[in-house]
Amino acid sequence: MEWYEELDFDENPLIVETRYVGNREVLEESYYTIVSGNILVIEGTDGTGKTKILKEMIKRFGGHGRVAYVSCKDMEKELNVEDVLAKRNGFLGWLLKKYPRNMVLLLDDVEHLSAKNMERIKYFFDTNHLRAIVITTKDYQTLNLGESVKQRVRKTVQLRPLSEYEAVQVVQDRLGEDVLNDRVIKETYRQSDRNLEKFLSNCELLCKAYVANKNLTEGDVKDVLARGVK
Amino acid sequence: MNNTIWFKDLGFYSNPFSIKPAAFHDQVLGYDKVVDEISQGILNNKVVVLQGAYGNGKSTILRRILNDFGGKKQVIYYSCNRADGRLNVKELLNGRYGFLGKLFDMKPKDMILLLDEAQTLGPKDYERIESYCQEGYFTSVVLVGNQMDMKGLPHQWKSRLHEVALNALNDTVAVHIVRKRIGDLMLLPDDMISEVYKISDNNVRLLLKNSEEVCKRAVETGRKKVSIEFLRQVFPSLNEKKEDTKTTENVAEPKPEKHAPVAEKPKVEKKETKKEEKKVAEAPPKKVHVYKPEEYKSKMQHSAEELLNSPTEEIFGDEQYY
Repeated sequence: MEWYEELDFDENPLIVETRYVGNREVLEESYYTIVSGNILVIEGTDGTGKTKILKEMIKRFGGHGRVAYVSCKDMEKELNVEDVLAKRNGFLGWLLKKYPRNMVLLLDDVEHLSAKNMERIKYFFDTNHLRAIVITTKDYQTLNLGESVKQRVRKTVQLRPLSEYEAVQVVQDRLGEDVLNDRVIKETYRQSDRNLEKFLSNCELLCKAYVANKNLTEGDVKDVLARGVK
Repeated sequence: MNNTIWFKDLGFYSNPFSIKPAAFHDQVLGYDKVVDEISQGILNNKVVVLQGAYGNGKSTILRRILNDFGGKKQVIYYSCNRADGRLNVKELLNGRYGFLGKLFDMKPKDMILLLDEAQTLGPKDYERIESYCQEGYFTSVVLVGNQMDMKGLPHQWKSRLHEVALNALNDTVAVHIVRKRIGDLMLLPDDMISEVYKISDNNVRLLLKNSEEVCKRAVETGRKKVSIEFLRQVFPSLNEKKEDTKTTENVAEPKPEKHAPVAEKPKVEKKETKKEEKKVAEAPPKKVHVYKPEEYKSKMQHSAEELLNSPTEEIFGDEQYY
Protein backbone atom coordinates (compact mmCIF):
# COMPACT_ATOMS: atom_id res chain seq x y z
CA MET A 1 0.00 0.00 0.00
CA GLU A 2 1.39 3.37 -1.00
CA TRP A 3 1.74 6.10 1.56
CA TYR A 4 -0.88 8.35 0.00
CA GLU A 5 -3.46 5.58 -0.03
CA GLU A 6 -3.06 5.27 3.70
CA LEU A 7 -3.75 8.98 3.99
CA ASP A 8 -6.95 8.57 1.90
CA PHE A 9 -5.63 10.05 -1.36
CA ASP A 10 -6.36 8.33 -4.65
CA GLU A 11 -3.14 9.48 -6.25
CA ASN A 12 0.07 11.11 -5.13
CA PRO A 13 -1.04 14.62 -4.12
CA LEU A 14 2.46 16.07 -4.38
CA ILE A 15 2.64 15.71 -8.17
CA VAL A 16 -0.77 17.26 -8.79
CA GLU A 17 -0.83 20.67 -10.46
CA THR A 18 -2.28 23.34 -8.22
CA ARG A 19 -2.71 27.08 -8.31
CA TYR A 20 0.31 29.32 -8.67
CA VAL A 21 1.86 30.57 -5.44
CA GLY A 22 4.30 33.42 -5.10
CA ASN A 23 6.03 35.75 -7.62
CA ARG A 24 2.84 37.28 -8.85
CA GLU A 25 4.71 40.23 -10.35
CA VAL A 26 6.65 37.92 -12.66
CA LEU A 27 3.44 36.25 -13.70
CA GLU A 28 1.85 39.58 -14.52
CA GLU A 29 4.96 40.76 -16.30
CA SER A 30 5.01 37.73 -18.57
CA TYR A 31 1.29 38.11 -19.18
CA TYR A 32 1.79 41.71 -20.21
CA THR A 33 4.75 40.78 -22.42
CA ILE A 34 2.67 38.32 -24.40
CA VAL A 35 -0.26 40.68 -24.78
CA SER A 36 1.86 43.64 -25.86
CA GLY A 37 4.27 41.65 -28.04
CA ASN A 38 7.71 41.98 -26.50
CA ILE A 39 10.66 39.91 -25.34
CA LEU A 40 10.99 39.06 -21.65
CA VAL A 41 13.87 37.36 -19.88
CA ILE A 42 13.11 35.51 -16.66
CA GLU A 43 16.17 34.90 -14.55
CA GLY A 44 16.24 32.52 -11.61
CA THR A 45 18.35 29.85 -9.99
CA ASP A 46 17.42 26.17 -9.90
CA GLY A 47 14.07 25.29 -8.45
CA THR A 48 12.59 28.79 -8.24
CA GLY A 49 9.81 27.93 -10.66
CA LYS A 50 10.96 29.24 -14.02
CA THR A 51 9.34 26.42 -15.92
CA LYS A 52 6.25 26.72 -13.77
CA ILE A 53 5.73 30.28 -15.03
CA LEU A 54 5.96 29.12 -18.62
CA LYS A 55 3.49 26.36 -17.89
CA GLU A 56 1.09 28.89 -16.43
CA MET A 57 1.42 30.88 -19.65
CA ILE A 58 0.62 27.76 -21.68
CA LYS A 59 -2.45 27.28 -19.54
CA ARG A 60 -3.45 30.86 -20.09
CA PHE A 61 -2.82 31.26 -23.81
CA GLY A 62 -2.85 27.66 -25.00
CA GLY A 63 -5.64 25.99 -26.90
CA HIS A 64 -5.54 28.22 -29.96
CA GLY A 65 -2.51 26.63 -31.54
CA ARG A 66 -0.53 29.77 -30.97
CA VAL A 67 1.94 28.86 -28.25
CA ALA A 68 5.18 27.01 -28.89
CA TYR A 69 7.09 25.75 -25.87
CA VAL A 70 10.66 24.64 -26.47
CA SER A 71 12.94 23.29 -23.79
CA CYS A 72 16.46 23.83 -25.03
CA LYS A 73 17.98 21.58 -22.40
CA ASP A 74 17.15 18.22 -23.91
CA MET A 75 17.84 19.16 -27.50
CA GLU A 76 20.23 16.95 -29.35
CA LYS A 77 20.77 19.25 -32.28
CA GLU A 78 20.54 22.99 -32.58
CA LEU A 79 17.08 24.45 -32.36
CA ASN A 80 15.56 25.22 -35.73
CA VAL A 81 12.86 27.81 -35.20
CA GLU A 82 11.81 27.63 -38.81
CA ASP A 83 10.79 24.01 -38.34
CA VAL A 84 9.01 24.75 -35.08
CA LEU A 85 6.95 27.39 -36.82
CA ALA A 86 6.37 25.52 -40.06
CA LYS A 87 5.20 22.36 -38.35
CA ARG A 88 2.34 24.26 -36.81
CA ASN A 89 0.47 23.90 -40.10
CA GLY A 90 1.12 20.17 -40.25
CA PHE A 91 3.18 18.29 -42.77
CA LEU A 92 1.94 20.28 -45.75
CA GLY A 93 2.83 23.52 -44.05
CA TRP A 94 6.31 22.25 -43.41
CA LEU A 95 6.65 21.18 -47.04
CA LEU A 96 5.45 24.47 -48.49
CA LYS A 97 7.20 26.57 -45.82
CA LYS A 98 4.01 28.22 -44.64
CA TYR A 99 4.77 30.14 -41.49
CA PRO A 100 1.99 31.11 -39.12
CA ARG A 101 1.82 34.61 -37.72
CA ASN A 102 1.35 35.92 -34.22
CA MET A 103 2.87 32.94 -32.45
CA VAL A 104 4.12 33.00 -28.88
CA LEU A 105 7.48 31.34 -28.25
CA LEU A 106 8.40 30.12 -24.77
CA LEU A 107 12.07 29.18 -24.53
CA ASP A 108 13.18 27.25 -21.48
CA ASP A 109 16.85 27.17 -20.41
CA VAL A 110 18.08 29.37 -23.19
CA GLU A 111 21.76 29.15 -22.20
CA HIS A 112 22.03 26.01 -24.32
CA LEU A 113 21.31 28.03 -27.45
CA SER A 114 23.94 29.71 -29.61
CA ALA A 115 23.93 33.41 -30.45
CA LYS A 116 23.49 32.58 -34.12
CA ASN A 117 20.29 30.78 -33.30
CA MET A 118 18.95 33.74 -31.34
CA GLU A 119 19.62 35.90 -34.40
CA ARG A 120 17.31 33.68 -36.38
CA ILE A 121 14.66 33.89 -33.72
CA LYS A 122 15.07 37.65 -33.87
CA TYR A 123 14.31 37.60 -37.58
CA PHE A 124 10.99 35.87 -36.99
CA PHE A 125 10.22 38.25 -34.16
CA ASP A 126 10.83 41.23 -36.43
CA THR A 127 8.56 39.90 -39.14
CA ASN A 128 5.81 39.32 -36.58
CA HIS A 129 5.73 35.58 -37.13
CA LEU A 130 6.57 35.52 -33.46
CA ARG A 131 4.41 37.85 -31.50
CA ALA A 132 6.20 37.56 -28.19
CA ILE A 133 9.08 35.60 -26.71
CA VAL A 134 9.55 34.58 -23.10
CA ILE A 135 13.00 33.31 -22.23
CA THR A 136 14.16 31.67 -19.02
CA THR A 137 17.78 31.45 -17.98
CA LYS A 138 19.89 30.87 -14.91
CA ASP A 139 22.14 33.88 -15.32
CA TYR A 140 21.47 36.74 -17.72
CA GLN A 141 24.93 38.29 -17.33
CA THR A 142 26.80 35.34 -18.82
CA LEU A 143 24.14 34.66 -21.43
CA ASN A 144 25.34 34.99 -25.01
CA LEU A 145 22.37 36.57 -26.73
CA GLY A 146 24.02 38.91 -29.18
CA GLU A 147 23.87 42.68 -28.95
CA SER A 148 20.92 43.28 -31.25
CA VAL A 149 18.76 40.75 -29.45
CA LYS A 150 19.70 42.18 -26.08
CA GLN A 151 18.49 45.56 -27.23
CA ARG A 152 15.09 44.16 -28.08
CA VAL A 153 14.59 42.66 -24.63
CA ARG A 154 12.03 44.77 -22.85
CA LYS A 155 12.82 43.73 -19.35
CA THR A 156 14.63 41.13 -17.30
CA VAL A 157 12.84 39.99 -14.19
CA GLN A 158 14.33 37.96 -11.41
CA LEU A 159 12.53 35.13 -9.73
CA ARG A 160 13.09 35.08 -6.02
CA PRO A 161 12.80 31.78 -4.17
CA LEU A 162 9.51 31.31 -2.34
CA SER A 163 9.24 32.59 1.20
CA GLU A 164 8.73 30.03 3.96
CA TYR A 165 5.13 31.07 4.32
CA GLU A 166 4.51 30.48 0.61
CA ALA A 167 6.22 27.10 0.81
CA VAL A 168 3.74 26.14 3.54
CA GLN A 169 0.93 27.22 1.22
CA VAL A 170 2.29 25.12 -1.62
CA VAL A 171 2.29 21.97 0.47
CA GLN A 172 -0.95 22.57 2.31
CA ASP A 173 -2.75 23.21 -0.98
CA ARG A 174 -1.97 19.65 -1.87
CA LEU A 175 -2.00 17.77 1.42
CA GLY A 176 -4.46 19.65 3.56
CA GLU A 177 -3.55 21.03 6.94
CA ASP A 178 -3.60 17.86 9.02
CA VAL A 179 -0.68 15.87 7.68
CA LEU A 180 2.34 18.12 8.11
CA ASN A 181 2.25 21.13 10.38
CA ASP A 182 3.71 24.55 9.61
CA ARG A 183 6.90 24.17 11.55
CA VAL A 184 7.79 20.84 9.99
CA ILE A 185 7.22 22.23 6.51
CA LYS A 186 9.29 25.31 7.18
CA GLU A 187 12.14 23.21 8.55
CA THR A 188 11.98 20.96 5.48
CA TYR A 189 12.09 23.97 3.19
CA ARG A 190 15.19 25.24 4.93
CA GLN A 191 16.80 21.82 4.65
CA SER A 192 16.09 21.69 0.90
CA ASP A 193 18.12 24.87 0.20
CA ARG A 194 14.99 26.69 -0.99
CA ASN A 195 14.83 24.51 -4.07
CA LEU A 196 11.22 23.67 -4.90
CA GLU A 197 11.78 20.38 -6.69
CA LYS A 198 14.00 19.09 -3.92
CA PHE A 199 11.52 20.39 -1.38
CA LEU A 200 8.61 18.47 -2.83
CA SER A 201 10.54 15.22 -3.00
CA ASN A 202 11.63 15.77 0.59
CA CYS A 203 8.01 16.33 1.57
CA GLU A 204 7.22 12.94 0.12
CA LEU A 205 9.83 11.39 2.38
CA LEU A 206 8.30 13.16 5.34
CA CYS A 207 4.84 11.93 4.46
CA LYS A 208 6.11 8.39 4.39
CA ALA A 209 7.62 8.95 7.82
CA TYR A 210 4.32 10.44 8.96
CA VAL A 211 2.48 7.26 8.06
CA ALA A 212 4.78 5.31 10.35
CA ASN A 213 4.93 7.89 13.12
CA LYS A 214 1.99 10.26 13.50
CA ASN A 215 3.76 12.60 15.91
CA LEU A 216 6.35 14.19 13.67
CA THR A 217 8.08 17.25 15.12
CA GLU A 218 10.55 19.79 13.88
CA GLY A 219 13.50 17.91 15.33
CA ASP A 220 12.74 14.73 13.43
CA VAL A 221 13.00 16.38 10.02
CA LYS A 222 16.78 16.17 9.80
CA ASP A 223 16.83 12.49 10.76
CA VAL A 224 14.12 11.58 8.29
CA LEU A 225 15.83 13.37 5.42
CA ALA A 226 19.20 11.86 6.29
CA ARG A 227 17.67 8.40 6.30
CA GLY A 228 15.86 9.06 3.06
CA VAL A 229 18.99 10.02 1.18
CA LYS A 230 20.69 6.74 2.07
CA MET B 1 -10.28 41.74 -17.78
CA ASN B 2 -8.36 42.80 -20.86
CA ASN B 3 -9.07 46.37 -19.85
CA THR B 4 -6.32 46.21 -17.27
CA ILE B 5 -3.71 46.39 -19.98
CA TRP B 6 -2.77 50.03 -20.21
CA PHE B 7 -3.05 50.51 -23.97
CA LYS B 8 -6.45 48.84 -24.08
CA ASP B 9 -7.61 51.22 -21.41
CA LEU B 10 -6.43 54.14 -23.50
CA GLY B 11 -8.43 52.83 -26.44
CA PHE B 12 -5.70 51.15 -28.47
CA TYR B 13 -6.24 47.71 -29.87
CA SER B 14 -2.60 46.69 -29.72
CA ASN B 15 0.60 47.97 -28.22
CA PRO B 16 1.30 51.33 -29.95
CA PHE B 17 5.00 51.18 -29.09
CA SER B 18 5.74 47.93 -30.87
CA ILE B 19 9.48 47.73 -31.60
CA LYS B 20 9.13 45.48 -34.59
CA PRO B 21 10.31 47.12 -37.82
CA ALA B 22 7.36 45.53 -39.58
CA ALA B 23 4.97 47.83 -37.78
CA PHE B 24 4.33 51.26 -39.26
CA HIS B 25 6.91 50.76 -42.00
CA ASP B 26 4.97 52.46 -44.78
CA GLN B 27 6.21 55.88 -43.75
CA VAL B 28 9.72 56.57 -42.54
CA LEU B 29 10.00 59.78 -40.59
CA GLY B 30 13.16 61.84 -40.71
CA TYR B 31 15.04 59.71 -43.20
CA ASP B 32 13.54 61.02 -46.44
CA LYS B 33 16.97 62.04 -47.73
CA VAL B 34 18.44 58.62 -47.02
CA VAL B 35 15.56 56.88 -48.75
CA ASP B 36 15.98 59.16 -51.78
CA GLU B 37 19.68 58.52 -51.89
CA ILE B 38 19.24 54.77 -51.85
CA SER B 39 16.49 54.88 -54.47
CA GLN B 40 18.74 56.97 -56.73
CA GLY B 41 21.55 54.48 -56.17
CA ILE B 42 19.31 51.59 -57.15
CA LEU B 43 18.15 53.36 -60.31
CA ASN B 44 21.77 54.07 -61.27
CA ASN B 45 22.77 50.40 -60.89
CA LYS B 46 25.00 50.98 -57.92
CA VAL B 47 26.04 48.92 -54.93
CA VAL B 48 24.57 50.75 -51.95
CA VAL B 49 25.93 50.11 -48.48
CA LEU B 50 23.90 51.42 -45.56
CA GLN B 51 25.48 51.33 -42.13
CA GLY B 52 24.15 52.41 -38.76
CA ALA B 53 23.94 51.48 -35.12
CA TYR B 54 21.36 49.10 -33.67
CA GLY B 55 17.82 50.32 -33.42
CA ASN B 56 18.09 53.42 -35.57
CA GLY B 57 15.81 52.21 -38.34
CA LYS B 58 17.97 50.43 -40.89
CA SER B 59 15.51 47.60 -41.42
CA THR B 60 12.60 50.02 -41.47
CA ILE B 61 14.23 52.00 -44.28
CA LEU B 62 14.88 48.79 -46.18
CA ARG B 63 11.24 47.82 -45.84
CA ARG B 64 10.22 51.20 -47.12
CA ILE B 65 12.40 50.70 -50.19
CA LEU B 66 10.94 47.24 -50.62
CA ASN B 67 7.53 48.91 -50.61
CA ASP B 68 8.60 51.42 -53.27
CA PHE B 69 10.19 48.97 -55.69
CA GLY B 70 8.11 45.91 -54.91
CA GLY B 71 5.08 44.75 -56.86
CA LYS B 72 6.80 44.14 -60.20
CA LYS B 73 8.61 41.03 -59.04
CA GLN B 74 11.89 42.84 -59.50
CA VAL B 75 13.14 42.79 -55.94
CA ILE B 76 14.63 40.05 -53.81
CA TYR B 77 14.64 40.80 -50.10
CA TYR B 78 16.55 38.54 -47.81
CA SER B 79 17.60 38.77 -44.19
CA CYS B 80 20.98 37.09 -43.87
CA ASN B 81 20.54 36.04 -40.26
CA ARG B 82 17.96 33.53 -41.47
CA ALA B 83 20.51 31.44 -43.29
CA ASP B 84 21.87 28.32 -41.72
CA GLY B 85 25.33 28.58 -43.23
CA ARG B 86 26.26 30.37 -46.41
CA LEU B 87 24.01 32.65 -48.34
CA ASN B 88 22.57 30.66 -51.24
CA VAL B 89 22.10 33.14 -54.06
CA LYS B 90 21.00 30.56 -56.60
CA GLU B 91 18.14 29.46 -54.40
CA LEU B 92 17.06 33.06 -53.99
CA LEU B 93 16.91 33.53 -57.73
CA ASN B 94 15.06 30.26 -58.29
CA GLY B 95 12.59 31.17 -55.59
CA ARG B 96 11.19 33.89 -57.85
CA TYR B 97 9.38 31.23 -59.93
CA GLY B 98 8.31 29.14 -56.97
CA PHE B 99 8.52 25.38 -57.02
CA LEU B 100 8.92 25.16 -60.81
CA GLY B 101 11.89 27.45 -60.68
CA LYS B 102 13.68 25.03 -58.44
CA LEU B 103 12.86 22.12 -60.72
CA PHE B 104 13.99 23.67 -63.99
CA ASP B 105 16.62 26.01 -62.54
CA MET B 106 14.97 29.14 -63.91
CA LYS B 107 16.60 32.43 -63.02
CA PRO B 108 15.17 35.90 -63.60
CA LYS B 109 17.36 38.72 -64.90
CA ASP B 110 17.79 42.33 -63.90
CA MET B 111 16.78 41.91 -60.26
CA ILE B 112 17.42 44.20 -57.33
CA LEU B 113 18.95 42.45 -54.34
CA LEU B 114 18.22 43.81 -50.85
CA LEU B 115 20.24 42.14 -48.11
CA ASP B 116 19.45 42.86 -44.47
CA GLU B 117 21.90 42.07 -41.64
CA ALA B 118 24.73 41.88 -44.14
CA GLN B 119 27.42 42.06 -41.45
CA THR B 120 27.32 38.26 -41.25
CA LEU B 121 28.46 37.91 -44.87
CA GLY B 122 32.07 37.16 -45.71
CA PRO B 123 34.27 37.96 -48.75
CA LYS B 124 33.30 34.67 -50.39
CA ASP B 125 29.62 35.55 -50.30
CA TYR B 126 30.35 38.93 -51.84
CA GLU B 127 32.30 37.32 -54.63
CA ARG B 128 29.48 34.95 -55.41
CA ILE B 129 27.02 37.84 -55.59
CA GLU B 130 29.49 39.69 -57.83
CA SER B 131 29.71 36.76 -60.24
CA TYR B 132 25.92 36.71 -60.54
CA CYS B 133 26.01 40.47 -61.07
CA GLN B 134 28.36 40.05 -64.02
CA GLU B 135 26.08 37.48 -65.59
CA GLY B 136 23.35 40.08 -65.48
CA TYR B 137 21.05 38.64 -62.86
CA PHE B 138 21.37 41.60 -60.52
CA THR B 139 21.40 45.20 -61.62
CA SER B 140 21.99 46.66 -58.19
CA VAL B 141 22.64 45.45 -54.68
CA VAL B 142 21.73 47.08 -51.37
CA LEU B 143 23.62 45.90 -48.31
CA VAL B 144 22.38 46.89 -44.88
CA GLY B 145 24.26 46.05 -41.72
CA ASN B 146 25.53 47.14 -38.40
CA GLN B 147 29.27 47.19 -38.98
CA MET B 148 30.46 45.77 -42.25
CA ASP B 149 34.07 45.16 -43.17
CA MET B 150 34.46 47.24 -46.28
CA LYS B 151 37.79 45.63 -47.16
CA GLY B 152 36.06 42.35 -47.93
CA LEU B 153 34.05 43.84 -50.79
CA PRO B 154 35.27 42.75 -54.24
CA HIS B 155 37.38 45.27 -56.16
CA GLN B 156 34.92 45.33 -59.07
CA TRP B 157 32.43 47.09 -56.83
CA LYS B 158 34.74 49.98 -55.96
CA SER B 159 33.70 52.09 -58.93
CA ARG B 160 29.97 51.66 -58.30
CA LEU B 161 30.04 51.71 -54.51
CA HIS B 162 27.73 54.20 -52.83
CA GLU B 163 27.98 54.50 -49.07
CA VAL B 164 25.18 55.92 -46.98
CA ALA B 165 25.52 56.63 -43.29
CA LEU B 166 22.67 56.90 -40.81
CA ASN B 167 22.77 59.79 -38.39
CA ALA B 168 20.81 60.01 -35.19
CA LEU B 169 17.46 61.77 -35.50
CA ASN B 170 16.84 65.10 -33.85
CA ASP B 171 14.31 65.81 -31.11
CA THR B 172 11.43 67.05 -33.24
CA VAL B 173 11.48 63.96 -35.45
CA ALA B 174 11.51 61.76 -32.35
CA VAL B 175 8.45 63.58 -31.08
CA HIS B 176 6.83 63.04 -34.47
CA ILE B 177 7.53 59.32 -34.35
CA VAL B 178 5.89 58.94 -30.97
CA ARG B 179 2.99 61.22 -31.93
CA LYS B 180 2.35 59.16 -35.02
CA ARG B 181 1.84 56.15 -32.83
CA ILE B 182 -0.23 57.54 -30.00
CA GLY B 183 -1.98 60.46 -31.66
CA ASP B 184 -2.41 63.66 -29.67
CA LEU B 185 -2.76 61.86 -26.39
CA MET B 186 -2.23 64.31 -23.55
CA LEU B 187 -0.76 61.66 -21.26
CA LEU B 188 2.68 62.17 -22.76
CA PRO B 189 3.40 65.83 -23.61
CA ASP B 190 5.88 66.79 -26.32
CA ASP B 191 8.59 68.08 -24.02
CA MET B 192 8.48 64.86 -22.05
CA ILE B 193 8.96 62.84 -25.23
CA SER B 194 12.14 64.72 -26.06
CA GLU B 195 13.23 64.18 -22.47
CA VAL B 196 12.71 60.44 -22.88
CA TYR B 197 14.62 60.59 -26.16
CA LYS B 198 17.57 62.10 -24.31
CA ILE B 199 17.54 59.26 -21.79
CA SER B 200 17.47 56.74 -24.60
CA ASP B 201 20.85 57.91 -25.98
CA ASN B 202 19.12 59.20 -29.13
CA ASN B 203 18.20 55.67 -30.12
CA VAL B 204 14.78 55.23 -31.64
CA ARG B 205 14.13 51.70 -30.47
CA LEU B 206 15.13 52.56 -26.92
CA LEU B 207 12.87 55.60 -27.16
CA LEU B 208 9.91 53.41 -28.03
CA LYS B 209 10.76 50.94 -25.30
CA ASN B 210 11.18 53.66 -22.70
CA SER B 211 8.04 55.53 -23.64
CA GLU B 212 6.12 52.28 -23.40
CA GLU B 213 7.45 51.87 -19.88
CA VAL B 214 6.57 55.46 -19.00
CA CYS B 215 3.02 55.19 -20.32
CA LYS B 216 2.48 51.84 -18.64
CA ARG B 217 3.62 53.11 -15.28
CA ALA B 218 1.67 56.35 -15.67
CA VAL B 219 -1.59 54.60 -16.45
CA GLU B 220 -1.13 52.04 -13.71
CA THR B 221 -0.52 54.69 -11.08
CA GLY B 222 -3.48 56.66 -12.37
CA ARG B 223 -1.80 59.78 -13.70
CA LYS B 224 -3.33 62.12 -16.21
CA LYS B 225 -0.09 63.61 -17.35
CA VAL B 226 3.55 62.67 -17.19
CA SER B 227 5.76 65.21 -15.44
CA ILE B 228 9.54 65.42 -15.07
CA GLU B 229 9.31 64.15 -11.54
CA PHE B 230 7.53 61.06 -12.72
CA LEU B 231 10.20 60.45 -15.33
CA ARG B 232 12.75 60.58 -12.55
CA GLN B 233 10.87 57.95 -10.66
CA VAL B 234 10.79 55.66 -13.66
CA PHE B 235 14.42 56.21 -14.67
CA PRO B 236 16.68 56.65 -11.66
CA SER B 237 19.63 57.29 -13.98
CA LEU B 238 18.08 60.58 -15.09
CA ASN B 239 18.03 61.65 -11.47
CA GLU B 240 21.76 61.25 -11.07
CA LYS B 241 22.60 63.25 -14.17
CA LYS B 242 20.34 66.12 -13.21
CA GLU B 243 21.72 66.18 -9.71
CA ASP B 244 25.23 66.47 -11.04
CA THR B 245 24.44 69.51 -13.12
CA LYS B 246 22.55 71.11 -10.31
CA THR B 247 25.26 70.61 -7.73
CA THR B 248 27.70 72.35 -10.02
CA GLU B 249 25.31 75.25 -10.55
CA ASN B 250 24.15 75.87 -7.02
CA VAL B 251 26.91 74.84 -4.67
CA ALA B 252 25.44 76.82 -1.80
CA GLU B 253 22.33 74.71 -1.58
CA PRO B 254 22.68 71.93 0.97
CA LYS B 255 20.06 69.54 -0.43
CA PRO B 256 19.62 70.00 -4.15
CA GLU B 257 17.59 66.82 -4.55
CA LYS B 258 14.62 67.94 -2.56
CA HIS B 259 14.58 71.58 -3.58
CA ALA B 260 15.02 71.28 -7.27
CA PRO B 261 11.87 69.36 -8.20
CA VAL B 262 9.66 71.57 -6.05
CA ALA B 263 10.99 74.64 -7.76
CA GLU B 264 10.58 73.15 -11.19
CA LYS B 265 7.18 71.60 -10.92
CA PRO B 266 4.93 74.67 -11.24
CA LYS B 267 6.87 75.86 -14.32
CA VAL B 268 6.30 72.62 -16.13
CA GLU B 269 2.66 72.58 -15.27
CA LYS B 270 2.16 76.08 -16.52
CA LYS B 271 3.71 75.19 -19.83
CA GLU B 272 1.52 72.18 -20.16
CA THR B 273 -1.68 74.03 -19.42
CA LYS B 274 -0.79 76.68 -21.94
CA LYS B 275 -0.18 74.09 -24.58
CA GLU B 276 -3.37 72.34 -23.74
CA GLU B 277 -5.37 75.54 -24.13
CA LYS B 278 -3.73 76.26 -27.44
CA LYS B 279 -4.44 72.83 -28.77
CA VAL B 280 -8.03 72.93 -27.66
CA ALA B 281 -8.41 76.32 -29.30
CA GLU B 282 -6.82 75.22 -32.57
CA ALA B 283 -8.52 71.93 -33.12
CA PRO B 284 -10.89 69.78 -31.13
CA PRO B 285 -9.39 66.39 -30.20
CA LYS B 286 -10.08 63.76 -32.80
CA LYS B 287 -10.08 60.74 -30.52
CA VAL B 288 -12.22 60.55 -27.44
CA HIS B 289 -10.34 58.52 -24.89
CA VAL B 290 -12.29 56.75 -22.24
CA TYR B 291 -9.41 56.88 -19.84
CA LYS B 292 -10.34 57.53 -16.23
CA PRO B 293 -7.54 56.98 -13.74
CA GLU B 294 -9.85 56.37 -10.78
CA GLU B 295 -11.61 53.53 -12.53
CA TYR B 296 -8.36 52.02 -13.60
CA LYS B 297 -7.07 51.85 -10.05
CA SER B 298 -10.04 49.83 -8.91
CA LYS B 299 -9.64 47.55 -11.88
CA MET B 300 -6.04 46.89 -10.99
CA GLN B 301 -7.03 45.15 -7.79
CA HIS B 302 -7.54 41.76 -9.31
CA SER B 303 -5.97 38.48 -8.40
CA ALA B 304 -3.53 36.48 -10.45
CA GLU B 305 -6.06 33.72 -10.96
CA GLU B 306 -8.57 36.06 -12.57
CA LEU B 307 -5.82 37.22 -14.86
CA LEU B 308 -5.08 33.67 -15.87
CA ASN B 309 -8.67 32.66 -16.45
CA SER B 310 -9.77 35.50 -18.72
CA PRO B 311 -10.50 34.69 -22.39
CA THR B 312 -7.65 34.91 -24.89
CA GLU B 313 -9.22 35.13 -28.29
CA GLU B 314 -8.93 38.88 -28.61
CA ILE B 315 -5.16 38.72 -28.62
CA PHE B 316 -4.87 36.27 -31.46
CA GLY B 317 -7.90 37.61 -33.28
CA ASP B 318 -6.40 39.02 -36.44
CA GLU B 319 -3.10 39.94 -37.92
CA GLN B 320 -2.48 43.55 -37.37
CA TYR B 321 0.42 44.62 -39.49
CA TYR B 322 -0.09 42.84 -42.76
